[in-house]
Amino acid sequence: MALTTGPADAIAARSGRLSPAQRRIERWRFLPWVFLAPALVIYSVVVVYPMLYSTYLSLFRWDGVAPKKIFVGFQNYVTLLTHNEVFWIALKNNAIWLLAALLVPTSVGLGLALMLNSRFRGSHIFRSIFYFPAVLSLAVVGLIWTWIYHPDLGLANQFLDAVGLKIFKRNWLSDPQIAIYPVILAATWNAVGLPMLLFLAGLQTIPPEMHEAAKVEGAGPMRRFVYITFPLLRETTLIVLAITSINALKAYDIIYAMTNGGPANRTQLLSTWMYFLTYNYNEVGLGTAIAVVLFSLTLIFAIPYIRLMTRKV
Amino acid sequence: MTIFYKKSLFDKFGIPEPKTFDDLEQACAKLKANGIIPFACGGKFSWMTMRTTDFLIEHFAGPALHDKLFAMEESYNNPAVIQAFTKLKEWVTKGYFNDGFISLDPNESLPLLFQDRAAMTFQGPWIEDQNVIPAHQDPNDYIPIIAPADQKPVRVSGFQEQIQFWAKSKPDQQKAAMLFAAFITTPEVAKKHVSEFGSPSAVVGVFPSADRPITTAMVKWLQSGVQLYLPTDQALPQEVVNAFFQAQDSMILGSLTPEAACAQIQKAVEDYKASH
Repeated sequence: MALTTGPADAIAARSGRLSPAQRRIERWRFLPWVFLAPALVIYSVVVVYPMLYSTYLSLFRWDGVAPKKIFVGFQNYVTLLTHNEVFWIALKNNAIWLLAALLVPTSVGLGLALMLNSRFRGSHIFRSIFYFPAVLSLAVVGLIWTWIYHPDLGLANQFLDAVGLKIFKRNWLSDPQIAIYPVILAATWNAVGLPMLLFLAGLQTIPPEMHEAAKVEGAGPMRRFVYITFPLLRETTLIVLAITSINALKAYDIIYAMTNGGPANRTQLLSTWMYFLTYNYNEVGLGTAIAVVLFSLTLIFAIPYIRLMTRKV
Repeated sequence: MTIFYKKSLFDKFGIPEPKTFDDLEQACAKLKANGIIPFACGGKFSWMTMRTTDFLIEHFAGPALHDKLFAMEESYNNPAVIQAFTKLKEWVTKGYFNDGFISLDPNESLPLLFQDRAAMTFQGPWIEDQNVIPAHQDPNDYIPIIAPADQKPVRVSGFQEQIQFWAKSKPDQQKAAMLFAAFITTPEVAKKHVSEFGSPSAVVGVFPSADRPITTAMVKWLQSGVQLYLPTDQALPQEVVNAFFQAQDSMILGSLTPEAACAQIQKAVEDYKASH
């Protein structure tokens, strides 16, 4: 169906009426909505409605079962900020997690990508090996590392024993001062694969001629990285940072698998504490208030990411 | 639920089966001196540690006070409860539990028993079918004892599994369900289907098969008059249980004193009473 303009359209334009072609466009204007409708309905039911309902519930005191919800306004938020010690522990852990996620998996992923981008014998095998942890679910990663950290039977302490470094042996997951860091290390092992893959894809879009020209001009590897590679990876870096931050804020299952938020709630994150309050302690108002806080924090990283991804070229 | 000891390890070090609380403490000291962890425990979810805490409360407070605590008619600031928490802390400090037990999954603590690194654990009869037999261990080597609280009446931690009917079902359906419950608990039927219904059975005279020595031993003493006290996480409201777990674990980690831990639990009791 061709929608070309012709003499009839020109006449219609002059008279202010719709031309036949415009009428045809007008008739099909609703079509995109028809195609979008199934996805929109599902998205509204399983994402938008629960989100709005959670925000609504955060204004009530409710145990999740009783027929009556008591409206308390913003009291749940005040309680979280002033009376809930674990909320602050969880927020601090989220901040540490986020910082670690922004620094470690991204820089290690970039380093690996730079190494694996140069073609050498077996580079494909190494790509698969380094990407492998990323295909495991965080629950499985949690189980593997829980055994590595087992105080008596785990690889970490037995290895330290074997190499004569007994002094560094720890109860990795039960020392409240350090317990969050071994969990972050386990999550990092899983998180390196994706940045590595994205950086590899980004590196392959850089024309080799640029490096060759720079070499001819006498630029060494470090100068080429600083003045060519890194600037041209700007967009990839932004995407990696955004995805890594969002994933860090979403972290939940690995904590559940490795420490269950313990010992004594010292490894809670906002996501796990939200679950504990809502489902274990029946404090639905407090739990959903954390959900709103977590959602707002995630938006800080999600909005620039979405804008970047949907930007018209 | 009660204390299980590994007979082969006790025999190896010439330790008699503990009949009193003092015997138990002496056994712990001797095991520790011989490089064996007295108790294998996985405290990740707090309820396994709670079994020991409950036992110590039963020992120091006695059945009457213990029940009053559960009814929230007695304060957790009671000196007997503080004594129980102090003893728990003392056992942790003396190394009577495995290293880092506070964050271990209960199932991750059991290999210590299977590898003869630990000698006792606080478990229920399910350990026989779920852990001991699948790990190719000899169930005759795992002896359940009546946890020696030195109190009368003699009680161990426990709960009954119950059949539940839907309250909104029709009267004739409820009647049929009751008849079914009565039928499956007749001695003949319960005896015939004991393995399907699970054990220990509440029906007097019904024992598990001979190849289940752990459960058989527990059924024998339950049917000879040993009573039960509920574990804390089933006896108290969820809000108080959460405070109990938090206080117990914080005390073990050293961030609360036994007195402060008890005060924290009592505050949760008072908050609960005020809001209900």
